[in-house]
Amino acid sequence: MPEAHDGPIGSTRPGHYGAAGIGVALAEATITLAWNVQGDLAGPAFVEEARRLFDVALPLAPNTTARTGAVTALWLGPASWLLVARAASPLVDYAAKRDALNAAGGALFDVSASRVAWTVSGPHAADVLAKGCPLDFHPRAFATGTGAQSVFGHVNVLIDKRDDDPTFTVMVARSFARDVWHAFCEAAAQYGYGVLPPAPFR
Amino acid sequence: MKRYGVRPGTRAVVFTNNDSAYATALALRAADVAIAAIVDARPESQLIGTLPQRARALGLPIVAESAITGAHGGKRVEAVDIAPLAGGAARRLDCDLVCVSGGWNPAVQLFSQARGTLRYDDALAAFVPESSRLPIQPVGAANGRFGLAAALSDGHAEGGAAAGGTAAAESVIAAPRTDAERTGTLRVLWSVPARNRGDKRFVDLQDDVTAADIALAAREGYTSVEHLKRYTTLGMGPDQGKTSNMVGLALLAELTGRSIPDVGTTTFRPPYTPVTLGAFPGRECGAHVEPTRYSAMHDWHLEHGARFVNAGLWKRPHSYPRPGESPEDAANREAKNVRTNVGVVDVSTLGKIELQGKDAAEFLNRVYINRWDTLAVGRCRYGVMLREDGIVLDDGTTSRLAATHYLMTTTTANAVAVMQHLERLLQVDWPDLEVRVASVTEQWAAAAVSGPRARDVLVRLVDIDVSNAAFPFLAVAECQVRAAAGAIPARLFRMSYSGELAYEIHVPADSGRAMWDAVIAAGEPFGLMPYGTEAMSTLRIEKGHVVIGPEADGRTTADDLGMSKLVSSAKWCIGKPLLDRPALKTADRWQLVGLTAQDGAPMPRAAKVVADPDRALPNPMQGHVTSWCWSPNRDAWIALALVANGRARHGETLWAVSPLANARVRVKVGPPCFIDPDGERLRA
Repeated sequence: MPEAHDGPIGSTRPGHYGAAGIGVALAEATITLAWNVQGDLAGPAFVEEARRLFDVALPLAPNTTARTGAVTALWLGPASWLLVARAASPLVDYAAKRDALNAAGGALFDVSASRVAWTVSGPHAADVLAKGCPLDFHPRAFATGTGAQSVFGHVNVLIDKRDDDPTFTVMVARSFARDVWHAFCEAAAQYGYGVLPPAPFR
Repeated sequence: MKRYGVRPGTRAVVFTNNDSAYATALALRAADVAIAAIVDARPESQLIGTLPQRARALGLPIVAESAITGAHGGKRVEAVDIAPLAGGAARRLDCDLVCVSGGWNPAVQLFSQARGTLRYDDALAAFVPESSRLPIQPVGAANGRFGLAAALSDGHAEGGAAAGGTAAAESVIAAPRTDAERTGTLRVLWSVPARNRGDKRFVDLQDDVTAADIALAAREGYTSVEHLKRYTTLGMGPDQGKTSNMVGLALLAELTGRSIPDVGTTTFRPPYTPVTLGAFPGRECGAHVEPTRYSAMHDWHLEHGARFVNAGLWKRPHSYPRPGESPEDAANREAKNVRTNVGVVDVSTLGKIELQGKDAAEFLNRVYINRWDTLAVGRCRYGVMLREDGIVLDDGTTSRLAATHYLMTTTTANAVAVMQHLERLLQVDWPDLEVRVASVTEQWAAAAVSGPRARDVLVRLVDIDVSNAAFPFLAVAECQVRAAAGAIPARLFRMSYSGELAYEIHVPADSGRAMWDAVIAAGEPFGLMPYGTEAMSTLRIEKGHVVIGPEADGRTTADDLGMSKLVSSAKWCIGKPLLDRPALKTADRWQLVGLTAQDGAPMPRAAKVVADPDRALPNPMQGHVTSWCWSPNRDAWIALALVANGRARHGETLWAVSPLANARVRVKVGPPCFIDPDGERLRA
């Protein structure tokens, strides 16, 4: 396909692009605070400390998420979780919390700027994601509250489903964001898509 | 005919062993193609099906229990010979179209590719699906149940079963009904016996494989169906044997006295049908073959005329040529500016790994050649890692941010490999160590401010005391960067890749641009210039810093690179035991040295080091150049090289030659450091 084109596909300016109609809505979901918590669930000191520090029960089952009023916790691995703040939240006092977790056999890494997140919502949200991601997005296979790590094209992504609209949140490493955003826009063009202004991560 | 509205001939002979060819004859007839004969291998008594009856009713000539025994013509068929299968004289029929049907095989390719097993059905004379462990159910013709009625009823039944549960119960669709049809059985006929010597009986029309070829293969011992395929190319044409494999393996069975199931089929491989190459990459062509990674400061580089290079998946500025300046001149200007003034380079791409846990120092001790339990909080140190065989794996600096919190940096290209190395050690080799790691390459945008005036810039930029006393060489601290939109929390490292007084500033990547703008603004009164990877490379060659790849090339040890002092004798590390191998300690090992070109001649590309350039081949190599550049700070072509017993040969004159380029230059051997060998500038 031709490299140069005049169309705005790939633009982040709010507006309508692609075919007529809004088959999917895209918006940046700005992450202010995100921490990677690591620790062994078999260690009672770690489990207790994590609950005390973040006031969230870390999701135990693979590919699940847990939400409190302030924090979304996503399962990343058997001993690794991503906590993303949604509101004024318990993700403060990094150094003290890191020391407390280290003492309990765990670890706390500040990865707040590591990822860029977008919400992908609307009747064709799953179709857009399916163009680059091999996961099954049918509601029976990808229920609200699921959080899965996969790829979009060749880039690692973390996708979680926020509601049955459907609204998906897609997170990608910051250095890849430009490329993946462009790929999303190309995938969404045929359905018509709207770019909304950035909103805080929810 | 039905799809394209094209008549393939004017007078046809249809040769068949089954009912469905009669549908072809009827269609030809309806399109005004004359039917010279329908030649059926079966006896009259088997021609009871609905289709043969319809053909008979229309008066189409049917010749039973017969076969085509020969064909005539040049560029196209002109006539065929037909004769009774039981024997007897042949008669000639004029025609310009021959249609041959041997029956149907279900399309089992996809089923088989999904590990489904097949069984041979004698009545159909075809392989049909047997079973699969995957949730796949072939239906209708794909399952060997031909005809419209079977397709509809099978589809209805299996579709309902697949939908399952309440979804199926809620949407009840009645199966459509079809007219009753009668189908006669087929007669198995894999080949018409040859009548004359030299009769060619084609099995694979695409690869021109005849029955005689198959017989030859069997005689030559190629009796496995896979060997038959490769010896004759049967089934290797565009249709991948859809019209020929069954016949071929059946003939092989006859020839070798085995049953058809015993001969079996060749392995079905994707693709099932030819696929346009463009369908595989899809949109991933041109710039999209691989993703591209951009630093947080990319747009600034773009706006300021940077010429970019690819560093793995990253785009990095090579240099910032001014109007009228070549990239090489720009790089030389930038490198000279760093040593005489101050410059800034975007180093965001560096691999960064954080380690936490009470055993972190012990882990670092095992992984690096030098000691880490002696590193204080707020300090960093250069480290080298070895492979298990004692060869240098990677290098970088590691800082101690807090009592049990470390930050390791790695070569950009090695970031993923080192991370995997550490993860594997912690999960497999030393699961008892309380250490956890995370990649934070993406978290931090980073810039290195380097040059004699770097402190002047930093003083205007950060809120902590950066005097040499308060913040000496190898110090690490948190601070705030004064940016236009407000203070940015940062990590500050006093380390140097260029060999000049230098600071690395790390900020969260979403503040990278703001930090860079602040550095540019703070450096403006001092003529701070941005510099790219080319100048960075020149500076590190001048200083003699080794790079994984050129100097640490998978064959060199720490000692070869002049780093044996770094290997701590007080503790074990990965690779240490095998360092004692005799071959790694011989006197003539190639050691890192510096070369300075004499007489102003350029250093040849990828040069080899020899004693006498005019010596006839084979000319023994004394070593080779690993990195080279024009040094604007020494006004000479310089190089780092590995030379046999190099450390004992400082002062010697040798030659750097490139036989390929027919180039040569006299070089003087010296220490692998051309600037400030005592490191005074670093510690200023």
